[in-house]
Amino acid sequence: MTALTFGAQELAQPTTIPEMWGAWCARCHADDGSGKVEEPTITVEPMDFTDCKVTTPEPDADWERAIAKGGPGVGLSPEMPGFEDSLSAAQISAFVLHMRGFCKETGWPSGNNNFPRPIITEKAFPENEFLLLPVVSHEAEPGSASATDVSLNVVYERRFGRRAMYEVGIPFYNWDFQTARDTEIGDVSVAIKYAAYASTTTPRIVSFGLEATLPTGELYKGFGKGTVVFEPYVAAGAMLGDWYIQAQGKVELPADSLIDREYLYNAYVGRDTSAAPTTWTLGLELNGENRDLWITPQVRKGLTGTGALAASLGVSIPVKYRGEKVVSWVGYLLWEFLEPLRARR
Amino acid sequence: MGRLLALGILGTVACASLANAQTGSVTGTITTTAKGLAPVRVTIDQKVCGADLPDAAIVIDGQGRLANAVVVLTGVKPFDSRGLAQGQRPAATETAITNEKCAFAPRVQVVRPNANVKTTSKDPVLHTTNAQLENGRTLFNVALPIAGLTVTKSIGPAGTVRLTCNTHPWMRGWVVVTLMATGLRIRTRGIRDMYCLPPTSGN
Repeated sequence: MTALTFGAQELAQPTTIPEMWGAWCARCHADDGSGKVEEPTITVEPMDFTDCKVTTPEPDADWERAIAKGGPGVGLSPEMPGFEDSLSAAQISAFVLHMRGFCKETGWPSGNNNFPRPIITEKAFPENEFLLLPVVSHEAEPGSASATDVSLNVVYERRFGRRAMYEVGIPFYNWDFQTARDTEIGDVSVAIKYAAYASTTTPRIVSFGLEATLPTGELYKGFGKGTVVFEPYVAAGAMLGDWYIQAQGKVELPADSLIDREYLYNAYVGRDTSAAPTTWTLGLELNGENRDLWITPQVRKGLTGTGALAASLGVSIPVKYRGEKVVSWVGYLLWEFLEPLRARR
Repeated sequence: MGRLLALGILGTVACASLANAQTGSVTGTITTTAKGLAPVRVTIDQKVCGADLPDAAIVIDGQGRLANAVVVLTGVKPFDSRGLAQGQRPAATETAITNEKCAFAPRVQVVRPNANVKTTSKDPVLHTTNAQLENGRTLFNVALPIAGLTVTKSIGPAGTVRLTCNTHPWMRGWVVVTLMATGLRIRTRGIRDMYCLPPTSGN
């Protein structure tokens, strides 16, 4: 520290990041980052930075934005001031590194590997999310009546441990059978996922998962496969410059040996249009199933200042066998239920 | 806030008769029977702020004359497109707020819409200048961790802006944003030589 004379007193001026934290940030966030101070000067309770499950999923860029722009920059309390006029970008990055140190547990995957979810490609980073995934397909063959099929997959994802996640999915179908529409539940799925590798220095992550679909859907109407299907998969993600690259390979292994295996492969490339949690993210997916291939351009938007609510919309266009395959509108509505939707007052 | 509005009402009466005149001025003094407040006990940064500070919410002299008062004129129509009376110069579009000895200086000021506010600190402790409208919407909240640092922000189009410091809860300041800013004088011992200027509309 350097000394500065102030009146008759000599005050120590912070020169290092830990000293600056102690002199400035600790006022609200406490010396240990817990946010618990004896005499709070603000009305909201700051986030507990020692809670690894809360702080580790967020990428450095979000924390840097919070320091630079203040709470409103990431949809949080305006009582957090902006430091962009008083700190350099390097100092702000150093503060984020210092703040990361309040989580004392090792093994939590870095939030720098937490990329925006594509619509179809499985994300490698484990999440606490509730999702609605609608699909709308319209078929109009010459000489026959048109048909519009709708499905909605309701998915609940929950992290457990430091790197794992389980997931339950319930699909609902509303299909047009020409004579009548039929609404039924499809094959319910359960899955687990484990982030086996997550770099702490560069954004790269690899996860393995196993999904099982149960024969709860009606086989003869096409709502189910009529057997348990095991679906091991690998999902990976990385960043190339400002671009998100995500990919997934999966094989469907039916318990009934009379049913053929299927091979699925998905790849996504996309980028944000700004650094704000409400940013538009433009993306493109390639989705393959055996010899079939679709291309799915899409756009994603954070719906709240924190990004805890987000929506995506895309159109899945068949690349091969176009005469047999239909175009589908796809998308999702996502809620990260452990994150605040907006600033607390 | 309630105090500030009450003072505004007092001043309104003084200028209403000038609505039909092309120019005019008001000279007067705002007085009150209110008593001064007890000093604020300082629990943070006492080396810089002192053990206690005068509560500047009400500053009066021995004759009951009030400082930091803002008078709002109503029912006055504009003279020209700039909203200026003859002979009046447009107010500066830049103003300053200084964090000094854990208080905003000046505590109250009147500025024209979209003025640039230069906020600075003379104290070697973390201050924040948190500017909020009456509806609670934050205009800006900047950190001033270093003495001598100056940050410039726009104050916005109109309204009464409350200034607070998130690390020193007793700190309060007010910026009244209005086209009537030109010519309005605020003295430490009541208002004198106040010019009656047109608002943006008949209100």
